[in-house]
Amino acid sequence: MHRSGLLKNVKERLLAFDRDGIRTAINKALDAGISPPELMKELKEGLDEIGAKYEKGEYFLSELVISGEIAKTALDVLTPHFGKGQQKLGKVVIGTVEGDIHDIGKNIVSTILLSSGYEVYDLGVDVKSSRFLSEIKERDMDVLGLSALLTSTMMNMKTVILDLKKAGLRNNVKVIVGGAPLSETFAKEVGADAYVRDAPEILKTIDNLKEE
Amino acid sequence: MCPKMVPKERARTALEHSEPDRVPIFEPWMHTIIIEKILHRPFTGVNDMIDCYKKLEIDFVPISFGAPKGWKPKFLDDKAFVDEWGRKWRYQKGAIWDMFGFYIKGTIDTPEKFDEFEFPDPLAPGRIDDLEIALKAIGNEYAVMGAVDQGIFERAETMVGLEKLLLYMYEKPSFVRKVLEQHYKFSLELGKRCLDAGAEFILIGDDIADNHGPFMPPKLYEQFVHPYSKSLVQSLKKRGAKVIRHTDGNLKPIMNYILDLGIDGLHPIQPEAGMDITELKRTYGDRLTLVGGVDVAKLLPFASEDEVEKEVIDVIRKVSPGGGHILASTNSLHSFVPDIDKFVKNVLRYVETAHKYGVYPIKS
Repeated sequence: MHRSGLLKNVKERLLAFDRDGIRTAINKALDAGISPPELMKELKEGLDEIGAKYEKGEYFLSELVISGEIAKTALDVLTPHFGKGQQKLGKVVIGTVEGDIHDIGKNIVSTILLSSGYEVYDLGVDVKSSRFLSEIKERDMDVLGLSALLTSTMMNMKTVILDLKKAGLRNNVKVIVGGAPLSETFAKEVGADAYVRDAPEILKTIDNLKEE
Repeated sequence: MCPKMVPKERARTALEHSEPDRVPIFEPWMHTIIIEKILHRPFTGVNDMIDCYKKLEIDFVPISFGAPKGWKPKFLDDKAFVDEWGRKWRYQKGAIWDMFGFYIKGTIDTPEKFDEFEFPDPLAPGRIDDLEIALKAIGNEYAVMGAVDQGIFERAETMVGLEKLLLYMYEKPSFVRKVLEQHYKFSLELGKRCLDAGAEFILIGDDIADNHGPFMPPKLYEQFVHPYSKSLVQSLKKRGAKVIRHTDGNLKPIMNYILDLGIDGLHPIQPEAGMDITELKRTYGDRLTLVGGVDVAKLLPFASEDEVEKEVIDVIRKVSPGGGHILASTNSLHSFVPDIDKFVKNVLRYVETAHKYGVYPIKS
């Protein structure tokens, strides 16, 4: 099979939610000398397609979950083949804010970012503001992702952003917020850089922020 | 003007698409903190719930099923516990059931663990004690409902974990069917037991969607969930029950299946999920009683009391004429709000407005 066919096969196996198939497809591509970054690019394109279908209402949560899992499997096969100093697209710290334990949307965002070549530090749920700050300080993050599902906890996003300002770290990171009760207006009010309505929009959102 | 009806008669009439004396009110779950604030006394159990519904003249009184007599949650530490279904929760003062703790995760997350798990018994003594108390106290007057909480899919997904259950639909389909079937059997037996105890109304709460849409594509919904859901509704209806189905979220992609269930009423019609109650009334009003209309995401927590009144009048005028409408919050009277006192004041205004402006005949 030609290079283009081998690459296409990787994306096809992702779109077919075929776990065994993607392992084989990646190994075949690697054997043929295709580089891990090329394969990552193909995976990212596949995830973008799935995200676009989700946004159009053609795909549903289960399709995001299964494709995320398949992409993680692909990443597991690829990881040992990355050379040292492999360039990541950026560093992202993400978590659900204090008082809130909802995590499905956040987990999907983490998986998409991870499978698309970002270095992701997922701090989990019910994360205190100080935890986010120390990660940003210690690891020099590019993006901070904050998630909340409850109207009673979403204001904690504002706390994190204010704490960032107080600590003089606000300009070090782009802050992206997401979660069912949020809106574009809310994101502006709390001083975030962007709002993500649905998990698959994350890649586009970060790309847009990079261009700014 | 129609002569004054008792709540039960009012409830039944609305579910049969006729105009009762006034638009009935339905609230599926009310946080104990709200009950305490309305009654001005500490919450001690089902009798307080009954008093609160009576005080507010809420026509439907859904009573959740409980754990078997003597059952105790397994506390992992002073805050986290595991319930009867192997689900991990964080304890919150007020109640150890259903939505009032913080659900953390399901622990029965593999076929092996499921096989080892002793599945709860719907016929265990104590399960419907609260329902029996309510039926005895107000069952002649009010539409006391046996609440088959988290019906089939929701109880299964909280037990296994939503992400895992969805993943297994692709990779372990026979396991998913096995889990759903067990929950179906539980809910069916429980529902029958509620009817045998004298309940005439059943509430099946079973979330299958979020704001975006159903958790799975319609094809998978049809394969895995719909047959069980439909059989549950049909079996209970055959025994004479009036059934209201609650599920959050945007149901538009599976509306044909929702109609096919054969339910009497659908709750909560969430506007933030794109479910427009006026539009649904126009399209499905002849087949389905719509239960909802009072926004609990933005209106009740954040608006002024006058704004609440205006909105409630507005929805009554748009949706109630002709019958087939029951007023309800667009989810439940929960406590996840920034200012609980403001929220309670708004709830009281919503109910007052419903009593005042919900009297038939109503002109659109």
